[in-house]
Amino acid sequence: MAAAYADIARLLDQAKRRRGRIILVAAAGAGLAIGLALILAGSVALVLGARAGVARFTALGVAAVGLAAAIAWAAWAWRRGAFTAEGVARAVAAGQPALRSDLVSAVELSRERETLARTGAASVELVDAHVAMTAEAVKGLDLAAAIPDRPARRAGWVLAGVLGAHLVAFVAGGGPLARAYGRVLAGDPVAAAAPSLDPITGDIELTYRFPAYTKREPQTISGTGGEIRAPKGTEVSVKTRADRKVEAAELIVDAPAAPAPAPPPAPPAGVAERKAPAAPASQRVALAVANGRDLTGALVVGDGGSYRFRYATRGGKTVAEGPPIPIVVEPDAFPTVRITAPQAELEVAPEATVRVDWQAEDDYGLDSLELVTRTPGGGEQRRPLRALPGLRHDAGSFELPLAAEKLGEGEKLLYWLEVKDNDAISGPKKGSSATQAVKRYSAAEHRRAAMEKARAAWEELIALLGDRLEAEGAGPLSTPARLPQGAALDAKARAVHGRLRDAANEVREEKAAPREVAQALLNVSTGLRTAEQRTTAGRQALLRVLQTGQPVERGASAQLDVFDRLLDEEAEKGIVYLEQLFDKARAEELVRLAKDLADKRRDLQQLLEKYRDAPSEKAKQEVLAQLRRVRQRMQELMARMAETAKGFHDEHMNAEALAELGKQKDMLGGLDAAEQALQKGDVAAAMKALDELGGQVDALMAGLERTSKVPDEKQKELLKEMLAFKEELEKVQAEQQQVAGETERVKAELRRRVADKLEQARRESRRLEQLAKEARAALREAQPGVPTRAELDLETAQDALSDLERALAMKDLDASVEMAQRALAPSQRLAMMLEEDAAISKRFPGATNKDPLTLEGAQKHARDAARKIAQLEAELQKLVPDPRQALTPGDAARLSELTSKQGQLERKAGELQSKLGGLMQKAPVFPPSAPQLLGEARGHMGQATGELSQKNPQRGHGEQQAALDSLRRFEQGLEQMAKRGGGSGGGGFPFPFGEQGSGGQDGESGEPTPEKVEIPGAEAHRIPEEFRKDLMEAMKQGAPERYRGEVQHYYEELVR
Amino acid sequence: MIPALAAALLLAAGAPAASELDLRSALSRLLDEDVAGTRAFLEAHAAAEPDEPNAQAALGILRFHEQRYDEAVALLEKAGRGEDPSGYLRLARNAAALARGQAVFESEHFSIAYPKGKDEVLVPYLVETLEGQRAALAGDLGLAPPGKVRVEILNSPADLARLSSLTEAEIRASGTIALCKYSKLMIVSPKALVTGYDWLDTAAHEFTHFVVTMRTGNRAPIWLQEGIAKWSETRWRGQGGEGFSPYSAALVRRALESGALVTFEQMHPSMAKLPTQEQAALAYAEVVLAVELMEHRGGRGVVGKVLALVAGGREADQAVAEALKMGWPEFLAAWKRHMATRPMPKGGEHALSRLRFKDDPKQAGPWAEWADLPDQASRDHARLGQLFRERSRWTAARLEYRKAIERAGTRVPILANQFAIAAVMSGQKAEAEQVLQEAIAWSPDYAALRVQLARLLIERKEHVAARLHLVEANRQDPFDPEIHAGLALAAEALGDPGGASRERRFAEILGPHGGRP
Repeated sequence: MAAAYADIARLLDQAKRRRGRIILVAAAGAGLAIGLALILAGSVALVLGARAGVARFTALGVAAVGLAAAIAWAAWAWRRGAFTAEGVARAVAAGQPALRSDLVSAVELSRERETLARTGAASVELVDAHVAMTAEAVKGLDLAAAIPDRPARRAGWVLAGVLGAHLVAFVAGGGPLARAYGRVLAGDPVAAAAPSLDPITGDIELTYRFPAYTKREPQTISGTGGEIRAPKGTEVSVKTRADRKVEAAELIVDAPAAPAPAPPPAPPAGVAERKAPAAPASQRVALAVANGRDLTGALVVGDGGSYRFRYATRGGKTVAEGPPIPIVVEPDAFPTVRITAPQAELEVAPEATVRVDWQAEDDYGLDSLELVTRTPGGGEQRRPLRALPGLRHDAGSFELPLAAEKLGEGEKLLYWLEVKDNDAISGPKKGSSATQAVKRYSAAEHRRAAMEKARAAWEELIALLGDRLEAEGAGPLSTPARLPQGAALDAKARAVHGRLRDAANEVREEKAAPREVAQALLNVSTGLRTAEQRTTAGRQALLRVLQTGQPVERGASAQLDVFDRLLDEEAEKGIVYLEQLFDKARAEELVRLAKDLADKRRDLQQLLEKYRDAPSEKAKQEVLAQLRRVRQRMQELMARMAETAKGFHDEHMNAEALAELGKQKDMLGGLDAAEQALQKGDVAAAMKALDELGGQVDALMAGLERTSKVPDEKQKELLKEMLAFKEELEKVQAEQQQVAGETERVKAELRRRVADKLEQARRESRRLEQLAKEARAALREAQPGVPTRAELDLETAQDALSDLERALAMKDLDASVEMAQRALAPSQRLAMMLEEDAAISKRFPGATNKDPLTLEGAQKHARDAARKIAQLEAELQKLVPDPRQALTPGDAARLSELTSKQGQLERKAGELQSKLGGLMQKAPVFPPSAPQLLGEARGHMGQATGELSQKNPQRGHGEQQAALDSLRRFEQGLEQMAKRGGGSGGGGFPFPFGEQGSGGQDGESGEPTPEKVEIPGAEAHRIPEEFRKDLMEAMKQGAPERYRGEVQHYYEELVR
Repeated sequence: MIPALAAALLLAAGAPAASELDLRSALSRLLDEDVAGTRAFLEAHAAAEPDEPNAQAALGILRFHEQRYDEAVALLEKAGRGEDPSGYLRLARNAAALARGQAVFESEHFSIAYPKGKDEVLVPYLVETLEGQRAALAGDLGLAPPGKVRVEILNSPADLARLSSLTEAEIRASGTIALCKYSKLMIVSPKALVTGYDWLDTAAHEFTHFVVTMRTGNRAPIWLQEGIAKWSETRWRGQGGEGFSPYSAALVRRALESGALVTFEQMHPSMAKLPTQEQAALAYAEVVLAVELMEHRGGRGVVGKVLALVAGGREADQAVAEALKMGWPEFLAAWKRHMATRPMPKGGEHALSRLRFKDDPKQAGPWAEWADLPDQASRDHARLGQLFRERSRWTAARLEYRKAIERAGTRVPILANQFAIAAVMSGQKAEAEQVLQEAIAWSPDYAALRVQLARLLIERKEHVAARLHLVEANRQDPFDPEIHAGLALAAEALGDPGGASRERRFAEILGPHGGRP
């Protein structure tokens, strides 16, 4: 029975050991495989560039985790299947459930047998029998099958695989992988600590002898640590004392460590590149030893680096070596040069000479200055400007003539300066200034730019009209609800006419730009401004009414609608007119471009002829280069022409212009043919090709000239009306001149008749002047008695008398009469008041605050004065003739006839005004002030008619002269217009009317002609009252005694 | 050189032998378009005397009339030995060269040669028109040409000049756009013109010439020829005389008042030789009214009677007098009265429809049409409309066009068309439609107006009306792809899938991917 128990126990023991071995091998194999795999992975990563620390930490860390996992698994597996007898029994009979149950229960019953036997809880016999039966059942059990070694084998295969991977990796990775493997396993080797080198010398004295080109004095520095800092080529004497007795000493000069290879940085702008010299090997410099410890020697500064002191025995054995001491090369900076004037890009006339100012400097010394230029399509040209032997700073200027460069319009000459220094050690270094440009003035470019500005303003005008029309499309802008929207549009209109005015000024400032465009912009701006101000005023008035809460009158709204419509019309007119002007400018530009093409071709032909007359390879190359340049220029011009031609609004013109260009599209082919012929040396063929090209260019120009006249053709109708208007104006002017002449003849006759009388009056003036003086003296005598209430009359009378004296002195009879009349009434009132006061004083002494005697005397003087003044007035009235009374019946009839003619002229002026309005509706060729001038003329004509009807030829003639003056100014504007139109070759289109100076800030259109209004002269019967008063006032100022006579004569002449 | 005269010269050397007389007679008949009648004789003659130059020349001319151009060239070259005394060699060579770039479509009675490519879209309409005209003329004139009639569609007036005795300048000056000559019809493709022309009526017109020539043995004088052709050119679609416009009537009135009528003699030898398009238009108007008067006096069959009499050897004036049973002077007097008193026709063109060729820089752009606006102010407003249109400011554009229309009315079709576009774009479709209707009344042949209107009608699902307008437009400018796209839509909506499919294909051919010629 015991044998059964023993059999089972043995079996289980064998099973336990087997399972333990398998778990151990499997865990060890797997753990090792994981560890090795991770170390290999880390090594590979390291080889591939991973950071050593990261790769190593990761590999080893994860490997450790793998190993720990393997151990944990082993422990778990051991505990599960090999730790207890039951566990082993379960594992052994895992594949046979019945046996597993028997075996487990046999193990348990075996352990409990004693207890069962003791307690009798179960039959021991049965237990034994069960154990015996189970022992019998497991007798044939194959432990190898019951506890398979699969995990161990698997782990073994995995391990073998990992080892295989190692093999492959090492074969492939070689040494680097092996080293990386080692670094992962063992970490990076710790670098051996550098041996510390202590100084072996005391204070070092350095004496620098600088290179000659630096012009620096030798320099000795004592008590240094030995660091050398000097320019390359400097000789340095070293003097020091050893810390011990030495037999021999030397300096070891080490070159600077070679920098890691890296792409060389681009040299800074303007600095020439210089090759770095090759690093020399270490160099030994023997030192002289004196007194066993004093050391001296010298070295030359090369490219820097360091040097060391080394002591040795006589046999050459090193006994001590000092630390490296730096040698720092002080860099020799690149020379610099800059152009201080003119600015980076300058636009000049073709024949201009540009003055160029420059400054150059270097830390040690300059050597030479050179000008470099480059023309379009050409190579660099160098011209030495100046030698600068050794100067550190220099500045100067030179002239750059452009005529020789033969730049085309808009072409640029690039130029810059190059300066060299005097570095005799490393070789001269070169510095350059920034590249600057001189551009030949291009009228075409300026014109284009100006036209662009004009077009931009025009676009804004279109946008304004578009906005207005779209707003008005939704209903009138005069209704209360829409007034704010209308106001916003008014503001926009303000901005637009401001923009147009600004554009006009900008275009005007550009000399190359068409003058008529500037003028037209200004005209359009002014017209728009007038219309906008009218509209704004109307709308603001309505808004104010609304603010007061009152209803808006229908009439006011309707009027505003009219104003809005007029504003739209003004914008419409301006847009169409400006566009026509742009078309014309564009067409003219095309002609100019074609002429430019023709010039280029001609230049080329001349060059070719020169070459034909004196052929040489150099000349040929020159011609070819010029040919290519012309080709490029032609291409540009033709592209610009095509672009310009596309812009016509009139598609008819567009088609014609493009057709003209299209005909010439093979012009470049002609140039190519010329070039090919020249390359072959066939000058005749090249000349022929250029001749043909010339024919094409001429045809192009003729066609474009025809096209450029189209806008004029389109404006013929308007031009016709303008000329008709001008003729009528001249007719009216001539008639007015004639009527004025006739009036003048009547006036002269009348004057002749009254002249005798006037002369008599002038002769009497001296006596009357005396009388006036007496009257004034009488008034002065009366003054003490004058009461307060009469003081004003006294003063008025005195002033009038004073003026009367002057007028009489000047023999101005009209003024004299007037002054006498002015003095008479106050003097009479004064006399009357003094008479009253004298009477009262007599009857009631003390009633006045004046003495009765004084009053009586004053009253007498006043009466005397009043009498004299009345006499003066009466005599003057008799002396001054009334022209009307001098008229004969014939004169009267003639004046009636002239009145009628003058009236007709006024009507004709009215008709002209109306026609002008019509013309202004068609195009803004007149400034808005133009009708005003005609209105003035018409007004003067009306006045003249009135005066003539009153039989006053003097005044009538004055008005006629004023009318003529207004007409003349208007006509002069037309003449300017015609002159300008004729000059442009367009038969008068476009014809902006009149120049307006600089176009003032407020955009006022001003006068159609700058001529000032004449001051009416003595031709008028009466000089203006204001003028007369001014003269009187001027005379009151007085004059130095010795000039008094002349001054008086002057004033007399003025009023005569 | 005029080929008829040249042919006579060709055979004029020396005293004619009997066979030469026969040959000259046959050639003369051939030049009167009697191909069938001369073929047997000329072929037999040429076979009998294969090396005789006159016989070869005559046979070459016959082959040219048979549109066997390569054979004609070979025969004429051989006959002339490098010379071209008759001018036929040049014509034959040109015709042969052109034929190489052409495709041919055969219908029952017509052989349509057209430039390969987009001219294909013309073919079905042309066939329909000519077959209709053939049927109508068979009734009116009593003759339907036997066999197939050759129709050649040409790319440009230059091609027409190459194939005829007219110069290009004459063609452009007189507005000649088609010819019936050399036993075939030649018609310039509408693609050569900026806005096309009435190409179907023109084809019918030329076919009428063909029939009249054949009916009379080319004995009808030019005034009668042109009168009948012009009167009958719309028979395929109407009663005849529809082409007589208010403008034509006004021309005649003015000419009567000023005594500037074009005489029948001045019309000889060809309307195309008249110096201006205005003169040609007046001449056509006069002869149309002559034929109209005949119809009024003698009824529908009277023209056929006149032609029969002319064919029988009567002079045209005698034939007319006999057919109408009145004296020729009486007829002339009645004709002048008719011209003076005839009521103005309703609708139709009110201004001369000038032919505007694309290759003429003065006529190429649409701007030339704007020049028709009567005054500068309306032109300015139209220009402002254009400016706004270019900037997509549609409301502003509409308002400016409207101002131009208020001044100029709707007589200028391009203005009405532009206005309609702006009105539609700014949402004012009713306004657009109103103006389009008015403008179409003034300019019924201006295709773009009808296309615009059709667009609105299709939008409203009024497909029948839309199709009518598009068909009218197609009679003028068949190369507008929108016409065919619209016709496709209308046909589909009206239950004509076959028609819809064809029009859709035409629209694709002419569309942007097909690239309009």
